[in-house]
Amino acid sequence: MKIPQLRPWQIAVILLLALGLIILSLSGYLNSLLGTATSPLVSLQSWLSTRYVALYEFFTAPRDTLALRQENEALQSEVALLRKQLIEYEEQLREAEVFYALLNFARSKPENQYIAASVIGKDPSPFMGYVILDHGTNDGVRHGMPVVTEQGLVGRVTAVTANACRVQLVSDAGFNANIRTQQSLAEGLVVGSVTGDVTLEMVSQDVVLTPGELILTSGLGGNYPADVLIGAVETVRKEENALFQAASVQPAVDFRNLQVVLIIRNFRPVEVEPLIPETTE
Amino acid sequence: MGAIAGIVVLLAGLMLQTAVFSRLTLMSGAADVVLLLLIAWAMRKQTREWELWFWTVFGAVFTAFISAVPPLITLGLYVGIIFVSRWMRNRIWQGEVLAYFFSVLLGTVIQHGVTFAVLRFFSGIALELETSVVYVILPSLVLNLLFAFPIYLLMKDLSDWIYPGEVDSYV
Repeated sequence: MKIPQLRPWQIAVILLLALGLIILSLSGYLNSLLGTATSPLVSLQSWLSTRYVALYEFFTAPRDTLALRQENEALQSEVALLRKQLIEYEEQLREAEVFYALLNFARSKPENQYIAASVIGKDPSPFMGYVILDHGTNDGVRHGMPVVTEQGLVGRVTAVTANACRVQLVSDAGFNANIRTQQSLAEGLVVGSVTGDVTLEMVSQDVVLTPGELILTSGLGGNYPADVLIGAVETVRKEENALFQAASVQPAVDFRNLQVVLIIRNFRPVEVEPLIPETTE
Repeated sequence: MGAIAGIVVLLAGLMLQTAVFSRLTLMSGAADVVLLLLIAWAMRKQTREWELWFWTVFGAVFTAFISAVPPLITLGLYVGIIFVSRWMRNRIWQGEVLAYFFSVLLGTVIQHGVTFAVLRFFSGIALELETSVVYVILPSLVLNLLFAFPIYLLMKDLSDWIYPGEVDSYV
């Protein structure tokens, strides 16, 4: 290829033109002209770049989604695990609070020896207010032992196997216990019912019962230790012609949410039946 | 196979009964899952007689062992209710589901009625009839009828699984 031979004046003209263009460009006189000239190029460049990025994402995005999905799944399982742990910790905290309250109660009555037991079931018959505990004769539980919580009397053990026992609740229809009221020192009988309501009965008409007055076991009859809280007087029913007055009782223990109880192991119920004279016909 | 399944199903049912369903009360009433399981099993055409009575006695004995209701009453009630259910299933209707629901209704009333009478008149517990009907018997009946159908479906599937070649055409 033959390179054209430029004459000196031609070179000088070209250099002058180039220099002039550079000066004009630097001084900004050529901006509009350059903008008009480069605009289609920029548009083309932009179009190409957009298409390239789109194609690149098309080929690389599925791999990213998969990685994100895996990461998402891993994070979700971690969240689920942490939630489960949180629930477990909350449950343990709740149990610890219950045990702490029971421990405080046990410490406040050092004369008694306790067996802590969990409630694992309820009697299948809706007529019977009984619960099943997870401790039996293997743990020292015996028939007739009173059952309490830090709130008050729960009931007494009525049947025992090696590893479980059945407890008659204060709210059972067949329950009755001798009591005395804390303020008026009235004696009476607390009985349960099929609906779970607890009633105070056989209280002398002379006594003035006041709502809110505490009801404690009296120890009479030998089935329960004395001075265990049962509940408080709620509403008094006093009829002029009746022999005794009665009152509905707000039990100290919430029998629907019983979880852990204490069995008083050093209390032996007194068998009073041999002392009751037989009736002769 | 049916007898082994019966032991597993009834033990699971009894555990669920004492741990869950007895606490799931409507007023003071509660469903009796063991009774529902037994009645549902009694309704199945494929059920062998000896298996049914094995299930019944097994369920009754274990329930009696746990419950404070006099054991012989529990045993007698379960056997009696299953006998009546089976009789109705065989003699009165060809519609299995209808017979099942009627058996649940009748069985619940018999069960609670007899329990009330025994506790009231023989155990000396001061139960009032009106209170017992309103707060225990009717709510228990409602709950039993509520849980009856899911338990029926469960037992139907179990029955079809144990006796695969004898699927009936009642439902």
